[in-house]
Amino acid sequence: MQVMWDNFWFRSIDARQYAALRIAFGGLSAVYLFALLPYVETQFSGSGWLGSIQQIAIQNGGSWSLLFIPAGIHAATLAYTVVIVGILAAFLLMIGWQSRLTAGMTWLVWVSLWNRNPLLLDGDDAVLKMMCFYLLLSPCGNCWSIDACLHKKPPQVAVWPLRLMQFQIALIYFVSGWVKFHSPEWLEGTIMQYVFIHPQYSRWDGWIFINDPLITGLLAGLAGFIKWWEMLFPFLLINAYSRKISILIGILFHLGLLLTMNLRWFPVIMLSLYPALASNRSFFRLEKKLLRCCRVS
Amino acid sequence: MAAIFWWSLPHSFGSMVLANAGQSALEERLFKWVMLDEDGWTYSFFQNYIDVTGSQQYWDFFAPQSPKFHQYLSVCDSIAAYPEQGKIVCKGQTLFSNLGDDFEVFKRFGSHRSRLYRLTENLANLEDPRLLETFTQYYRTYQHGITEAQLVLHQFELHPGLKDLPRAGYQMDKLLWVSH
Repeated sequence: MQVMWDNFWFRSIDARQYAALRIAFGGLSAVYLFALLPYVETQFSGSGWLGSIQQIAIQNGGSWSLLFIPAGIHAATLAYTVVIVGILAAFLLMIGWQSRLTAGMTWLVWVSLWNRNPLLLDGDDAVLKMMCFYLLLSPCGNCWSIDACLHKKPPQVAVWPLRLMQFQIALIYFVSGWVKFHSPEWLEGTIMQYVFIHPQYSRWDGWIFINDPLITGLLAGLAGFIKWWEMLFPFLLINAYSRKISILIGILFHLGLLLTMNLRWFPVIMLSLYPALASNRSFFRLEKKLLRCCRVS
Repeated sequence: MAAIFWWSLPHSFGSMVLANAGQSALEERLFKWVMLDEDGWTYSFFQNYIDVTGSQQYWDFFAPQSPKFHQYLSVCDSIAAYPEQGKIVCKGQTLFSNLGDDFEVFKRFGSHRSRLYRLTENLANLEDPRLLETFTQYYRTYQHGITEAQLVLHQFELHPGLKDLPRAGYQMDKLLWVSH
């Protein structure tokens, strides 16, 4: 039992897996924080509509934010500074310069924004915030980074931060699936019909096909399949064979969302979590393939 | 891991437990067990961990995205209501609005308004008087000489099965708040 426990939490793995996650979430955080710039003054600064209100954060168990610092007439400057520092930190995290420090700074900015005005933010931002926290805990700069070029870093690292990420991913799917079992539209199987005619969410004009009984039947079946797959996701990860199938379903599901729905970069963010579920050896093989391609070209 | 699991379940399902509807006896027992006693050491430890690490598991706890509706906000200095059409419009100045008029056109590459759309969902769902007042007041103070401002929710209910309704949905606007 002790051996199993140690093997599960403390065995060494190839650091390339963390590096892949660092590049993905550093890059995505930089893009997302950049896209928030037009909202900084009105939505996040002390001179914005929320003024000095902190009640939303406190109601949801958050008491701190860099944006709660009283800055008087310089409130907008403070807010812009925080977000711009976040963009720079996220970019540096992506390229792997002082990786843990920059992961920490990006996380600090994400939490500050969340505690300041969560009303503007959504699940995609929440995943970015949490992944920055796990990257802060992980040796994510040991490979494929400026840190690794400048200083020799051990390529074999501890697995426990990856286990925390995997638990987080499993929890996201499990809770999402469970919630769907309490939604009338998901239970009736009509959810997809609404989504495909929703002016805000749908990329395509769903009115063309939603009244076809065959298509509505297929969409209802798909809705039922998705809610079961999401709720069983943590259990499907346990077995190697079911894990591969589950990951494949997840990739298809998020590609489907990307093609059909306007959810900003949410499907890309969710797909970027999948390297945390992949085999650790696959990253070494990926590096070899990329190097071979570079040599050939 | 225990802390984020503890935080997730009550915040996802807490309202259902309190309403005592839509959950099985097993779920109800599980939630009550997971929610913990507020005076206990474990509760305090988990709460502090979540706060310090910013680990709140926000998915859609403020406003579950209901695809049955699409909704938008306007802040007006005066309004005109058309009850037979379910419509409320700004009569004078529009101080803020994220209401578009192109619902027939589906956007292939997303909308730059998605952030304000999320804000609308949350404000409409929470119906928190302090937030509604602050939001309306903010846009009111931008204009001098305005004694009152109204916050209007433009809500459209979608009915995939009813072809006679406008494709944008059945409009049922409502006055959310008046700031004096």
